[in-house]
Amino acid sequence: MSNGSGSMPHDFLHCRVCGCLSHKPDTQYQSGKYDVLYCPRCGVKLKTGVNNSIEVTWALLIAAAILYIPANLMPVMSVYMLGSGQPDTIISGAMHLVEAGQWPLALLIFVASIVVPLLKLFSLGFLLVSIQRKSSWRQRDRVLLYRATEYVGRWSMVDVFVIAILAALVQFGNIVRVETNIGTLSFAAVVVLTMIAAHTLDEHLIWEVEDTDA
Amino acid sequence: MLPLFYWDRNSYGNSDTVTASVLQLCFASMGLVVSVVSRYRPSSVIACGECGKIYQYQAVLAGQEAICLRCGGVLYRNRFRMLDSVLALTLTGIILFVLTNFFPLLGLKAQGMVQELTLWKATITFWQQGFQLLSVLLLLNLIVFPLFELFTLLWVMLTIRFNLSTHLARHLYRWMQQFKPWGMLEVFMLGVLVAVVKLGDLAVLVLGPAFWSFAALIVCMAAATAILDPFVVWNSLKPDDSDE
Ligand SMILES: [Zn+2]
Ligand SMILES: [Zn+2]
Ligand SMILES: [Zn+2]
Repeated sequence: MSNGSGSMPHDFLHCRVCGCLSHKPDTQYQSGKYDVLYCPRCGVKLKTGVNNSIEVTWALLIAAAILYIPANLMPVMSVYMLGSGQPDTIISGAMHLVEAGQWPLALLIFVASIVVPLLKLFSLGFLLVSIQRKSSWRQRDRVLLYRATEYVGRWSMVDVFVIAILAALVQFGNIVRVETNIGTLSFAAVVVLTMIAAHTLDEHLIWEVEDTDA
Repeated sequence: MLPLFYWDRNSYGNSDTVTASVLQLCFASMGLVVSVVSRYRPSSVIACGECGKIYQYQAVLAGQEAICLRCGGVLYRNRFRMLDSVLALTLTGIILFVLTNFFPLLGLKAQGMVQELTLWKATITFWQQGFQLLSVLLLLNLIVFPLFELFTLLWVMLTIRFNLSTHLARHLYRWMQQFKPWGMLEVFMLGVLVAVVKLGDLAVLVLGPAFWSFAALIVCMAAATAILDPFVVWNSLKPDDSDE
């Protein structure tokens, strides 16, 4: 019954969370479409049978791409000085920083809030298309691209945090105060959705081409 | 020989293989969802966590690491006094976290008034301005997940050190690994720095005591993450027969 290390890798179930290798319950067991297997060590659901990672990731990615538009067109915060308010979008906020001579800060906000989310949308889209085409083109580099996308995504939250800090600190009644606007919500939604999309994308699929003929 | 057993999450509990297989086939033929815990396989065969390639485990010397030939991911490392260092960092981190929440991070002076920023106030401001969802997101990012990470690390280190039952530790550590990207203290720190530069020209800004404890907390947590090798943790947290 036990077939040790000599068995084919395909017999193993590999837990993506704890890395533990396990067997299906018994040799006659044929996994059905709806069966749920749990990892014996960490208890996470093991991915078997149908893999809907591609569809779920596409759905999240499209939702994020749609929300990216209001996130950039709507004001994220308003500064009220002596009663009159001035709403700012992410871009106009960065432009004010440039005018004030704080261009390193403007660059940081521009990269974290505009470039990174856009790059994430494109790189995840590119990875999805290349996986669906079962492309064997530069697999190792594509894994690196995936890891970079996954790592860098959370840093986009910096703009949301800056707005939270300004809104909490700059509260001096009629003299000057900062109010949050709806753009912040859609921007945070873009960051959250792309983070979930990077998580649901199963990067092992990049190697699927090689695995089939190994 | 491997013991041929598995657990089932459904009502029929710890049954033997034959009964369970029959029940399972019944459920499967009825098209119902069957949920089974896969069979644990204690052996020296391991898989690359990044790409799934299979390897035979070989011990490496202290200070060295094993790298996957296919994708270049780290398979496992052998670090000197890893668990003790992480335990010390985690305890320090918990103390620093408490300190950070009791003192202001920043103070802003204008027109004779002072506004102070604490970690808690940063999360609650969105709620007060009508963005409850954002407020909850910040609460998770800045307070819930970092605290969960610290206490999970503490419990895992204690479990391994004192050979406690691994059940809780395994579940906690799994959740911690999955939620790790959502704890965003270091991103918040960058936000604080941006705000400091942004407001620095316009008003008098005072760095509060929590600013320094917060910075130290981030260093502690980053060091714990860098030092701890999940492979070693999972290897030490073997399922004990009594649970499930
Ligand atoms: Zn697992
Ligand atoms: Zn690998
Ligand atoms: Zn359990």
